[in-house]
Amino acid sequence: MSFDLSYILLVEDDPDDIVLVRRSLTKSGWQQGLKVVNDGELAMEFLSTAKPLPSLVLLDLRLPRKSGIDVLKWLRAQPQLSSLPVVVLTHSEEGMDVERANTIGVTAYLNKPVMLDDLMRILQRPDVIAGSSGTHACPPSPPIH
Amino acid sequence: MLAVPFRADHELPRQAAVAPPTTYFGGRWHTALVYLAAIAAVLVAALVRAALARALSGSAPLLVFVAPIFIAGYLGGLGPGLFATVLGAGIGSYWFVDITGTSQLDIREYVRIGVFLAEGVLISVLCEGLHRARRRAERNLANFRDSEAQMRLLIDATTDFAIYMLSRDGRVVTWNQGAARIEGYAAEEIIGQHVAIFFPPERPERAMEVLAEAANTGRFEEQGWRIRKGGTRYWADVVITPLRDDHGEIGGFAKVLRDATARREAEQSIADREARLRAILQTASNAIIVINRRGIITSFNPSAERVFGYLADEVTGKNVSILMPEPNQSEHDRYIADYFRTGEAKIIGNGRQVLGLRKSGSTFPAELSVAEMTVGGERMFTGVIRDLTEQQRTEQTLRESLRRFSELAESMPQVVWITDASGTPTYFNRHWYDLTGQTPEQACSPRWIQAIHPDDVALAQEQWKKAVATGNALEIEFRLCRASDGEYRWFLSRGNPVRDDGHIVQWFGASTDIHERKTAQEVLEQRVQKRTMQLVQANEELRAFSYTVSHDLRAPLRTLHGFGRAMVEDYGPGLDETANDYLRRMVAATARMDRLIADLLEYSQLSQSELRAEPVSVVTVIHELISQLPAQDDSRVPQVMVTEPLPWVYGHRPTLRNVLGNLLSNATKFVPEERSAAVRIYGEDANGTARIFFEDNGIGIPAEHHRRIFQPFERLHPPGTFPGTGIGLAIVQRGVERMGGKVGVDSSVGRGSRFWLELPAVPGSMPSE
Repeated sequence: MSFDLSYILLVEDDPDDIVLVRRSLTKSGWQQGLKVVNDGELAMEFLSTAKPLPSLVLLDLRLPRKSGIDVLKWLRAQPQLSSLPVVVLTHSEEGMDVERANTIGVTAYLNKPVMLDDLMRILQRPDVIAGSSGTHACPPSPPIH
Repeated sequence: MLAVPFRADHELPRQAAVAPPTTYFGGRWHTALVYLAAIAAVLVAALVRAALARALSGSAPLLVFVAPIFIAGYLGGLGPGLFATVLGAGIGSYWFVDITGTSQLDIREYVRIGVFLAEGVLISVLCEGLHRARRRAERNLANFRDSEAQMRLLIDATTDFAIYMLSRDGRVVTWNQGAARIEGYAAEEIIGQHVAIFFPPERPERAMEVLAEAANTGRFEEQGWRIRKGGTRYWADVVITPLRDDHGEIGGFAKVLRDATARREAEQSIADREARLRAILQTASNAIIVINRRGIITSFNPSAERVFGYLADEVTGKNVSILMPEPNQSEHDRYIADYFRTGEAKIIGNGRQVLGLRKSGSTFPAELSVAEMTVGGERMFTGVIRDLTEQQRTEQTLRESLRRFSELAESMPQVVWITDASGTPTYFNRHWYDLTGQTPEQACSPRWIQAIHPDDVALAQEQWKKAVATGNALEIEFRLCRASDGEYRWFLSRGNPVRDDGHIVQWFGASTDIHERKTAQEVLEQRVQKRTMQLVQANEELRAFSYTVSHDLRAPLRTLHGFGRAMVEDYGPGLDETANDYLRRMVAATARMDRLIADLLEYSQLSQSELRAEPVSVVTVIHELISQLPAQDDSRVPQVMVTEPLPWVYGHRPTLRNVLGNLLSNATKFVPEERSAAVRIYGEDANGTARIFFEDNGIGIPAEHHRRIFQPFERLHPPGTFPGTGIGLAIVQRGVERMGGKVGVDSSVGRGSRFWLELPAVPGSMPSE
């Protein structure tokens, strides 16, 4: 596990949401890069081999192939990933899924569409990004596209 | 001069009283003394004659000898009288009649002696009569003395009668055992008391009236109430007789009294019984006629008068045969004679139907029963006659109506039936037999039920049992086997109890063929079932559809909203004010639409999903909600004050959160612009029902809208005045109701509102009020 701030992994299939997340992240001043995967399978594949690991996973629950819940379950079952902060992106009507996610272990929730101020609030929480806000100078990682 | 009973002077007086009466002049010594006295008297007479011899010379030689005859006759009667006569004649003739001295037979001397003897005999006879009379008188006197003593003893010993003497002024003088027993007083306490003591206290003067009446009429007799010692009453039978002395003056009264209470009661009860019997005879609805052994009517009661048309006086003493038509009329005397000869009764003891003959000459059917009795040694017959005219008419009417009923029942298109009280058939019309092919023996027995389809028997029997037990009308549907083709057809059977005097005596009913209707109904039911299935399926599809639609609708909407906001944020500064305004309106509209879809979704889901209740801490939910409370658009911060503790309730946690969230949002929403929202939340536990109150400082709601605001899409204000979709309170109401609670509002315009909800409280979660 890296002590340096690393990139953020976004698991999302909706291109509009990806654009909006990326836009808010850019606006927030995040510089450590963003890696996007489009379904649950890919997310699991990526995470099992990722070096370094992301500092945060933004996880949509409604995903093709493997759902967000499945990803979360798998993630929490991996020793090297179990303490990885995960922020679940939700729609307000997905109450049941949120509840299930809660029992598995979620760091925070973010309502979609992801807007700047909500994202800022999340990123400033110490349990989400260890240490502080995204103003740290860190080794650059995959750039934000 | 009471003779001393010489044999019994040392015995009991009672036995002395019954000893034979003794004779005063009895004993030989006495007879001898009388004869000696006669001799002495003759000798004295002879001496007297001798002394007078000179004065008398030869005349009346025998005159002095008459005196001894009187003396002897007086003392001894005939025997001594004759003895003195003969002795006197002998001595007188010898000494004083000169028979021998003159030696010539002087006829006068013999005549003289003869006259003397004749006088002597006459005197003796007379003396004998006198003597006997005196002896009888003395004997009578003795007898009388004896019987008086006996009478006194008898009276004294009498216990059944009170016999006593009263003085002239009515005081008790003597008292016997009977008086003591009946009246209760001992002799020593009552003697000297006035007779008034025996009379009832209400009329004490009655005592003197009674004595006066006895004195006036010579005898008083009555039956009446008297008082015995101690005050109890008894019915006395009294006779009072005045006692008069030799001069006819009343010296007192003799009273004889008997306690007749028991006899009076017996007489009373006999009289009562007779009165009752008479009343029965008088009022009996049947004619009752009594005849003697010769067939003569001795009694004819009023009903008999009514039935036969004779007055009792007209027929009493006539032969009973006048009350019957021929041939019985001429035969009746023979019937009686035959009965006495053979002892074979034809009617006595068993009633029979006969014809009666009225005075008018018409006859009538009657039921006659005769009883025999012996009264005062004579055999009598009592006949009870019931006029059957009316009964036969009724029977005729009944037969007629039965015939009509039967015709009606047979012509009915339904099965008509009658059962007894227990439900066993007693009648079916022809339809039943045509339909089922049963015989009357089968049908009118518990086996009738074999005509019913085996699957319907149990239900039919159960329904029958219920109807019989409750007495309610019966309605059963069952299939009956049509004998002609073996097909089972549906019948509706309806029955009603027929009551007599409140008790069910039979059931009356009809069974109608409802096969066509029933099968049509079954088809209909199947169709309904199918439709329902389709409906359920459609509903399910609709739900899935609505979920998908709302979800899929919302995703692009949010994207639209997101990009709109991004546009404003990123490029707003480069655009003019109008462009910015348009953009903001677009963003606001998408937000509203998103909210609307979300609420609709929630509302529709509330009515569908099953809500499982669990204990929920209201205060925890409310704190969560407060923390998520969005800031008002215009940065006015709502103040929420929670008064703890709040109760725990049984509810569905997500629904409850939804409900409370809506109430909270509602409470903060309707606030006039010039002030910030202030909400007070508090609760109570009222006997197991938790109440949560949301009190706000909002604009308030007019009373007429208190119900309306809980309807979906009801908004009291034009869109834009206050935020919201108009579904929030509808969600609140439906959510609370689905959890088994209630919701309401107390409010008036300008004074804020207080919304409340009630849910089952978790016991002990909050101090009960």
